[in-house]
Amino acid sequence: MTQISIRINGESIKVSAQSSLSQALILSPAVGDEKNFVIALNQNFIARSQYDSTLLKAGDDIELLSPMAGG
Amino acid sequence: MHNINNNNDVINKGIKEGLTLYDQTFSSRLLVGTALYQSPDIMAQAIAASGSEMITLSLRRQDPSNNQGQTIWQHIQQSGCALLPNTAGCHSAQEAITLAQMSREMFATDFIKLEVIGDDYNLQPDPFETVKAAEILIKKGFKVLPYCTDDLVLCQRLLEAGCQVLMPWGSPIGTGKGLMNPYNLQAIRERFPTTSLIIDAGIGKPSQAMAAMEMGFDGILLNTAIAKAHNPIHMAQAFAQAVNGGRQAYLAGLMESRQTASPSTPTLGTPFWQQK
Repeated sequence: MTQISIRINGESIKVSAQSSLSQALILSPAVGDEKNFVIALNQNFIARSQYDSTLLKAGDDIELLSPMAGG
Repeated sequence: MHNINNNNDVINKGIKEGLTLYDQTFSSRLLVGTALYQSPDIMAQAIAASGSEMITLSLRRQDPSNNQGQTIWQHIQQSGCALLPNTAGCHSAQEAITLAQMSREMFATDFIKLEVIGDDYNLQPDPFETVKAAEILIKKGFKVLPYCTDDLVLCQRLLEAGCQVLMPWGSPIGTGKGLMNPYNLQAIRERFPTTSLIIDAGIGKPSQAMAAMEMGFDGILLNTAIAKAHNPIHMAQAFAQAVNGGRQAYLAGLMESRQTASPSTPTLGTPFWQQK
């Protein structure tokens, strides 16, 4: 199956073409044990309810963020 | 005497009124940040000591090998405080809007501390991008608390965009320089008498927070001054007292300053005085 390259938090990973966002997250070391995260794809917010239906394409840039202290 | 009693009632009512942020009211007028503490435990104790009911936090990339973020998040949840996520680090309206949407899903709140930085040297907010982001976020149902400079016209534009709260800086973030431009801040207070105004950033000492409250500001948001104190817990208490004291002083009505000295002790019956 064709592989495409995407980035999650700046790190490149290979996923199968036509992978969904949910499928890519399983492969990402950035997720780890973290359950509390939210996502932007190419700087656009993606609601959790859309992770399964969002299909990825080569070069996609995923930002995966979690709660942190802030001022 | 009768008038003083009436005035007492007004002041006591004013003290109890609390801070209104959109449709919610908070009895504490001090909002605190959660960053820069030595440990999550000290952070939690300082938040409790401050009496704050709303705390700021952020979203960041997580290092899977370090669970510090999770620990902080657990302490924040246990604090029971309302959450005010920020858009710190954003340099454009688009970045801030995306981060605000992510924050709303993560923290289940419409409140957002809108922060769009225009200059990395002094972390001065970008007025143009801040207004642009505020307009869009308000339309998307956010309760926007914009971090802005002390520019009167910028404040006017943010109100026109639909913001019900403004957060002008005292001075640049983390400097502790206090109220850099009291004249500008006073003008904003006088020009927008019914808007909730919070001084955000630059407050380094309780006396500076008190000065802002004496001017009639509705609240104070700070982080570094507590987190970087030698004893953050006691400093949090000091800030809570300063904010309350400043509020009470504002409601009580400050005397007008005078150019020349005027004796406070009665001159009538002054001892050792002889008519020459």
